[in-house]
Amino acid sequence: MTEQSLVKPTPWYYLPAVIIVSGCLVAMVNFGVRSTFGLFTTPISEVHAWPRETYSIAIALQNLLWGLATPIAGALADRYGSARVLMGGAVFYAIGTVLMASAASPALLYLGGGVLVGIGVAASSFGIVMAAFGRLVPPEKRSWAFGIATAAGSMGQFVFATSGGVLISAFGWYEALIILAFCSLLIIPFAMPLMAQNTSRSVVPLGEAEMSLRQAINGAFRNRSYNLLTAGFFVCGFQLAFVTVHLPPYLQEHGISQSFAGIAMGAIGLFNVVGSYYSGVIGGKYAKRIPLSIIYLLRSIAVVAFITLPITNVTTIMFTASLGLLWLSTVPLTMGLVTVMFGTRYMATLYGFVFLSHQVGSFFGVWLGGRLYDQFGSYDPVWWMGAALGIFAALVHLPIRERRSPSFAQPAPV
Amino acid sequence: MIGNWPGHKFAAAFAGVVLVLWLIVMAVMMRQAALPPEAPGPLLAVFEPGMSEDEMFARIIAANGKPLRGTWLGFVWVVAGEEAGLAGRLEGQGAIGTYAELPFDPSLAGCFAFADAKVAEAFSLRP
Repeated sequence: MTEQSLVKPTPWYYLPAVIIVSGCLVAMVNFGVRSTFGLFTTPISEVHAWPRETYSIAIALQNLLWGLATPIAGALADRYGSARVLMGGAVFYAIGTVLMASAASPALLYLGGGVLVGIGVAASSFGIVMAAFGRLVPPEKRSWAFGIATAAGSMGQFVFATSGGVLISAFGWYEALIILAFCSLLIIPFAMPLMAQNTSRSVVPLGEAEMSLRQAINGAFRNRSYNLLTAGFFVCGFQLAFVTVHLPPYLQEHGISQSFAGIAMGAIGLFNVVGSYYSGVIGGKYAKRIPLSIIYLLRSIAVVAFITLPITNVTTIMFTASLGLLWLSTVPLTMGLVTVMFGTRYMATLYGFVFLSHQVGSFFGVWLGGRLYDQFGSYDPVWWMGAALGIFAALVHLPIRERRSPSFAQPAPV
Repeated sequence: MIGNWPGHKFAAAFAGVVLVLWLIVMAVMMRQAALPPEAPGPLLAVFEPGMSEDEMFARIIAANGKPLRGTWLGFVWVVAGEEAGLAGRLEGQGAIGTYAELPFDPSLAGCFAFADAKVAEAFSLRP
């Protein structure tokens, strides 16, 4: 037997390119399927003669569950590996989507489209994919990998949102939802190559301290930089959710045609793909907190410019394109900072808590947008609030210490 | 993990492959969604983008259809007509396809999804 024959070749499904493609496909399906749900508002409400509010509550519940379940899914991913959690999430996602299609009562719709899909989305989200990348990809390529995973999720929105309408037209809404449920099951084979990653039960990664999950969570929340990062991500959620929900009516109020408003919103999605990817690239080359701070500052500048200049088609498209570039570009940098500060061992759990803060921010962005509009008859107070919060986020990222937290670092040998 | 980690060219190629696959799937599904030639109205008639409003109007009339209204997509018209075969006649007059409905929702679903019935209804194309 020669020495060469003893070297076990890496199976094709564990090759770097296959791992990246797999993670990207998971992110695409995860983001994509749920981006079609808005299309089902009318048919599901009409067929059951439910008020539109019923469906909206189910989707609101989904957002809430996504936020709440992310740290738990993260902890499971750290313990048992991202691939298994992604696969489990796909099953929840599919069952929830099927239940949405066949729900005969609002309670079943809330359970399916709200609770089960929310848990499924959390467990199969790009946060879990990025945790796998964090463990599999060498540190010098990690930020790039986070960027491409986020960009793939954004691309999934575009691919599925456009295909979803045609799917309904070709097969009917019920069949379309069932097909989408099967699409979400594709996450299972796509996640297979991510099985190669280690878990918190594996040997402690080089340079990381031996600690339990509880110790890791306590240690992170005692870390000032982590709390600053969490506070900053709250602002991200606030700004994005406010724009998602309240920009279309704002444009309508300012005389922008419906068709142009649609194009402008589409521009956010398109530019988001580019912005997410390049923020990952930039995060790999420079200190992550600086571009993150610049992103929040640029968002504030964009908002102030938009609301103070006359609102025309040109200013609208310039605003949405620039916002698109800055949209999910915070994600690879935020995830990158979590990895730098705490290592890869509990990264999914710790990112999960940061993301929970994002979802709480989303809630306030939507709620305050409506509440203050009712009070003042204008969106301007919330725009200004969003811009001020952007400045706040830009500032809180600056003092973040971009190095391994002492309690998470392996003690130096005596 | 052993092996060379990919870079920008790989990312661009991945995006390109996804877009090509998306175009193929969309083309197949648009054909699947098209109404059969014998279908009566009301329906959506899709013309070539860039065709003038007068031209589309004239072609709908020539197909024995009643142009009810244009849509936010300038090249898609809502056409009425109870006679069977309206879909086929419109295609004979140069319509790219005829559809029962084309739902569309520009709402973004990033880290926050939102089901706004008003937005979905405003953009969905329905006769």
